[in-house]
Amino acid sequence: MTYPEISGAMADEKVKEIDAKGVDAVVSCDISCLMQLEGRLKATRSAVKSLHVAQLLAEQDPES
Amino acid sequence: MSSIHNVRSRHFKQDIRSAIADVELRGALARAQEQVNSKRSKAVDAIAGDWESMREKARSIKAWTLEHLDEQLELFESNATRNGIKVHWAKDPDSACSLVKDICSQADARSVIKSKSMVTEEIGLNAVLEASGMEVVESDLGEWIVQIAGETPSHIVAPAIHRSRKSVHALFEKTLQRSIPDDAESMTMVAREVLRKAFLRADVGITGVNYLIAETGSFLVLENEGNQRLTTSLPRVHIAIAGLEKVLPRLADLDLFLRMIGRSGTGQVVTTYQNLFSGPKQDPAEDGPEEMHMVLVDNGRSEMLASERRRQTLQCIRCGACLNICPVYRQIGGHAYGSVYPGPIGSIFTPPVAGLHQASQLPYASSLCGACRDVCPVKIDIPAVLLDLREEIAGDDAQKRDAETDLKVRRETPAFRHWARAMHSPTRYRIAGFFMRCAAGIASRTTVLDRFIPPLAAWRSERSVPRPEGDTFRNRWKARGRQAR
Repeated sequence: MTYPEISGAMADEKVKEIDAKGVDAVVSCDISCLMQLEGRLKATRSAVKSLHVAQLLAEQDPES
Repeated sequence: MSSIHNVRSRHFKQDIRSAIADVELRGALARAQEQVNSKRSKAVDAIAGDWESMREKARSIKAWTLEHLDEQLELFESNATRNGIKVHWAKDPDSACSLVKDICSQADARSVIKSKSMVTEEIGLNAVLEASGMEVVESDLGEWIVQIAGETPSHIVAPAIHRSRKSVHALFEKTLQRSIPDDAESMTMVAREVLRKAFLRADVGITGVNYLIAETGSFLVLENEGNQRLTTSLPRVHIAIAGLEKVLPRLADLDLFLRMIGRSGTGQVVTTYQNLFSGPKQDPAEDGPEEMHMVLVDNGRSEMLASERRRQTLQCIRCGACLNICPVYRQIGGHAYGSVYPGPIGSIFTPPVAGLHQASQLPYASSLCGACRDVCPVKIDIPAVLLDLREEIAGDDAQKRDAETDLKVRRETPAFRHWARAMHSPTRYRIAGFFMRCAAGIASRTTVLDRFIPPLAAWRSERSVPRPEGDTFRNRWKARGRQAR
C-alpha cells in the first residue's frame, strides 16, 4: 500500500496472464494477494474466481 | 546524481508514476527480463554439478572472507605491492576521487578512458575528473550510450537497458551529426570508430574490479566487448578501483565464481573475456601500462560489516540477477530508484551507505516476494535485510527517515501495535476477528467507512474487500472436530 502504483502495475500484468490461461479460479494461501487480485479481476470483469486455499479444501471436504 | 550520497528519494513517488506511465519502457523491461531469465535458467540447468551446492559454497567462501576481511585485505595489499601494484585506501568518495585525480595529474593526463565500473558511479568520479579539465570517455558500449545521453546507468550490468535501438540510433545521429544506418551492427561499428580514437589518445585507463585475489595480489576484471583489454593495455597508467568487499582468498576460488557470475548475470556460460592483472610491465619492451594502481574504497562498507544482520549485503558479486528477476524493477526500471545501485541489491546497499534518512523509501519498494533471494548466487537473504532496515527506519528515531516515510510510519505504527496485541492472545484474536468481520461486512457493501478511514479508500483503489459469508473458519473447524469424534 506504500506504492499502490507499483503493486497495481504488478497485479495488472498477473491478471492479464491469469485471464489468458483460461482457468476457472485462482487459488492462493495469502489473503492480501488474493484480495488484490480479486479486485483487479473484478475491475476487468473477468469470469475467473478467486479462492483461498481453505475455501478450495472446504469445497472438497465431505464432512463439512 | 553525482554519487551514491545524492539519492533522489524525495522524488521517488513522482519517478515511479512517470516510469509506470512509460509504456515503452515497461515493455522493453519485461522483454529484457524474460530474455535474460530464460537464458539464465538454461545455463544453470545445463551446468555439470549441483547449482544449489555451488551457491552454498560461494556463500560460505564470501561469508568466511568477510569475517577475515582485515587479514585478507592486508594480504592482498602486501602481495599486490610485491607485484608492483600501488595500493591506495580511500575512506569515502571524496578521498577516492582525489586519489584518482592526483594519480592522473601526476601522469599529466589530459584524456582518460574507462571500462564499465559501478564503484566509479558510486563515488561520482567522472564529474571530479572533468571538473579538473580532463576528458573522460566510457568505452563499454552501454556506458558510452548513457554517457553521451547525459544519463546514469539504469542497471548494474546492462546500463542502457532502458533504451530501445531506435532511441539509441536517434541519439547517435544527434551526437555525431551524421546519418547512420539504424541496424545494430552499423551502429556498433560507428561507436567502435569513435572509441578507437579515444583509446589511442588516452593517457590513463580506469577499470572496476570483479575479484581481488589475496593469495596472489592480482585482480580479475570481466568483460564482453574487448574494450577493457584496450583500456588496460594502451594507456601508460592503469587505475583499478574496488570496493573493500571484492576480495577472495585464493586464485582457485575463481573456478567456482567464474562458473556462477556469467550464468547469473547474463545467462552466459562464461563472460567473453576474463582479464587477470598481476602488475605493470616489467620490461620497457613489453606491452601494457608502466604504472598500475589499486584504489580500495570503504564508503560505509566497514560499518555494514559490523552489523551481523546486514553484513551479507557485502557478499554481493554484482551479477544483477536480482534486478532481472524483480517484479518491482520490471515495472519501474532502474532510474526511478534514484540511486546509483537500483533494484533489490540497491535497496539494501544504498540506505546504510547514503544514510537511512536519504533513502528511507527504498526498503519499502519491495513486495518481499523473495525471488531475489532465490536467484542470488551467493544466497543473500535480501528480504531479511529489507525488513531489518524497515525496522530501524520505523523505530523511535525520526531522524532516520524522510518526511514522507515519517508520515507513513506515524499512520501505521498504531495499527500495527493493535495488530500485535490481537495476535498475542487467542481471546483478543477472537474479539478482533469479530470486529473485523463487522467492518468487512460494512466496507464490502458501502464506501461509508472510507470517509473516516482514509487509508481504507487508498487500499480499496487496488483491492476488493471480501464479504464475510457463512460461519467462521474457527467454528467450522471445531464442528468438524466434533463430527470426527
